[in-house]
Amino acid sequence: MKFGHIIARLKPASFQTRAFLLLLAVSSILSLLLGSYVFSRMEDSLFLQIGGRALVQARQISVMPGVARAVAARDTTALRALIMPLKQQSDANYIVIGDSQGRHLFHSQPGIAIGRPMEGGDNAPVLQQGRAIVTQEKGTLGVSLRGKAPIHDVQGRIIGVVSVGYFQSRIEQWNRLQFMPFVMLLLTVLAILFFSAWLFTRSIKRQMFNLEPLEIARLMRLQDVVFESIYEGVMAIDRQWQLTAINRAARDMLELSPNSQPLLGVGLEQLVPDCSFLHAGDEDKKDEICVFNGVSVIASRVGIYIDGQLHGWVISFRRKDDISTLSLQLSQVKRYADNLRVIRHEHLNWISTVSGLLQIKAYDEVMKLVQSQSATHQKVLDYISMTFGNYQVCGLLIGKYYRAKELGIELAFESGCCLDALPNCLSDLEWMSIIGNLLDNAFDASQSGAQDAKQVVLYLSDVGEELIIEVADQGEGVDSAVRDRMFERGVSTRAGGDRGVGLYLVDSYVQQAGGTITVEKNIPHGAVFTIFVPKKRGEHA
Amino acid sequence: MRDIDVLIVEDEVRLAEIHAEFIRKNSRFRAINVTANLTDARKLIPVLKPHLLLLDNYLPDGKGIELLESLVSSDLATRVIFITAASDMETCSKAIRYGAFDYIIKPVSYERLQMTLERYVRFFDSQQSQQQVNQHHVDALFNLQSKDFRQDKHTKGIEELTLQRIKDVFLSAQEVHTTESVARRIGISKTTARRYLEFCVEKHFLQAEISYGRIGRPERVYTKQDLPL
Repeated sequence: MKFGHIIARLKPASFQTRAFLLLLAVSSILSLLLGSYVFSRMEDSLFLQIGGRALVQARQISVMPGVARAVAARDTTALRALIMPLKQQSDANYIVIGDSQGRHLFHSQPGIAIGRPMEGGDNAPVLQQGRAIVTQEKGTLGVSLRGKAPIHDVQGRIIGVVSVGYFQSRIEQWNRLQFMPFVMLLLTVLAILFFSAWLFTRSIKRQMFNLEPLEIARLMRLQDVVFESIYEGVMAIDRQWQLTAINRAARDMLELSPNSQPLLGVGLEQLVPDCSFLHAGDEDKKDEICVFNGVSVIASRVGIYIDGQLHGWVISFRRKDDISTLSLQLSQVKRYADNLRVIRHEHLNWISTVSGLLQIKAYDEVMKLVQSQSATHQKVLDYISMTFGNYQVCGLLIGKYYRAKELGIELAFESGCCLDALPNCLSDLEWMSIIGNLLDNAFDASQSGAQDAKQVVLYLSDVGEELIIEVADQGEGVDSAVRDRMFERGVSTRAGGDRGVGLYLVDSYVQQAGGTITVEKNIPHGAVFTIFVPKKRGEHA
Repeated sequence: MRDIDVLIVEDEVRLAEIHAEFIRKNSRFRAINVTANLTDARKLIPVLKPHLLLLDNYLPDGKGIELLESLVSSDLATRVIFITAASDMETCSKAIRYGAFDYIIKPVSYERLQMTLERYVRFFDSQQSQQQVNQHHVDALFNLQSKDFRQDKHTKGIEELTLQRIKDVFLSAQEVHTTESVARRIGISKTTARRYLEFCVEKHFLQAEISYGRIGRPERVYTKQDLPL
């Protein structure tokens, strides 16, 4: 438990902190390494330098006129007189002169007994081989660095030794003195590093919108998925018209490689050739109909501005068919408006007839006409509203009835029609689309047929377990060439723009409701479309 | 029996007069007030509490349908006969939805109006007389309001003779028919054949199923049910 608690408290530090600590640790270790290297090099060179100085002094003293003589005569007073002034001028801690046995003849420090052996045990190379050396040993006065040189008599025999010494503590003190500024410099550099690392990580953090790298990765993936799953085709291009992004819908529609990687950086001209929409001008464009690689699309283009600078464009497009579907539903509404116009037109005609009859004083005729007019409308209205228990269906059928009338078609209702309520497996709008489209198709078929009998019969009943919608026309019937495919999108027997969607819609709605459509030949000719939709889902076998 | 109070809302004064004159002929209708606009109508209705409102849609200060809409949400017992032009089917279907007692297309047929008034009298009387509410009464009221007799629906347009001829087609249990074959056999339209066949399905004489035949599109075929009718 406790361990887990600690782990929980040690939650990963933020990116800024981690980057900062890393930078700091690396720079600190580097400066420490550098500092210690420089320190040891400086110490070495100081020792070398001091050693050299001691040696030179020892050598100079050893060849001083009078020194060899005084040593040979063991004349300590003469030696003192000779050496003491030198000692005063020198920064050495001590100057010692010994005889050939390594015993003190002179020591610059007072109180050292003459004849006492020299300490350190480093006299052998000097006294036996006559070499001048630098040593670092513990002598009478402590550890010191000393330069030693032999003293020769006139015949060249070694008769004594000169030793010039510097205390180690003194050297270290010097070393410290020269090292201090370096340490100060190092500390300043560290402080600057500390500060700049903090600034750097903070600016990085700002550039990443204050997000952690993990969050950025997650965001990237999310945006990628969102981009890929947009139903509209989306492409982004830079100022050189080279592709910078493309989503799946766009690749599918343009029939490009399923993977976006090889497409990036490719010129748009190669991917979608001959399209002025994409290539012309700098301005934004909205909802233009154009052809991309043989596909009719409705496309928009919007400039990408970063800090007021144009960086490229985003092009979004979708198939024209998709939009046609929407406009078809809208056109249903438009047709209602048309119906109203038709009725108004009829009404004006009627008024002028009445006015004419009144002018020729045919009052009985007027009476008859007036009565018949409202009676016909009233009868239709009464019948429809009595029979169909859904006001939307009533509205639609009233509209279609008058529309048919204007087309010279009779819309007849098979006796026994009845409707309590539409099953709620589809929305009212979708039911309207089914009924409206079937009737419109029947009207179209009746018109194209050359026959006189232009009657469309509607049977709509929900008496049993199913809702039945049957529309029979007396047109030319369904062409056998399209018979098998007539519920597919874009298949139509008629020429013209927004055709070929009606039955596709009807079919998809009926399938959605779990129903069936049958298509038969009418007797003697024409077509019968029948839709069976179970009123309650699941009860349908 | 109580008399019925009527308020006529009609901006065409002469027409309103004619309406009033017509209604007065009927002895059951009493105080007949006339107002020419919506504002007055809104003020008068809570005071007069008329039983019946003759409401024209096009009024100088608004649409009659708005008044109908607000009446639906009020707790007044006022019922509305909605009068509109033939060109205004949209409003007409709205009026149906808001529960207008009836709707009459202009030019008003007084025969039709007479029928509506008589129906209202029946509705009014049965509402007044029957204190005890039972299901039968509710149904009757509903039918009076929707001027439709639903029990007729199921058998409407079904003639015994044609039905018998259809049944004869399915003499043996093995007979499988479509509307096509039945219509040709009897000499009726396919839609009529459909109507009779579905009637038989509903009465459990026949059963229907979808057959996915040789040529792509499904067909609906009818066979005799094992259960005797």
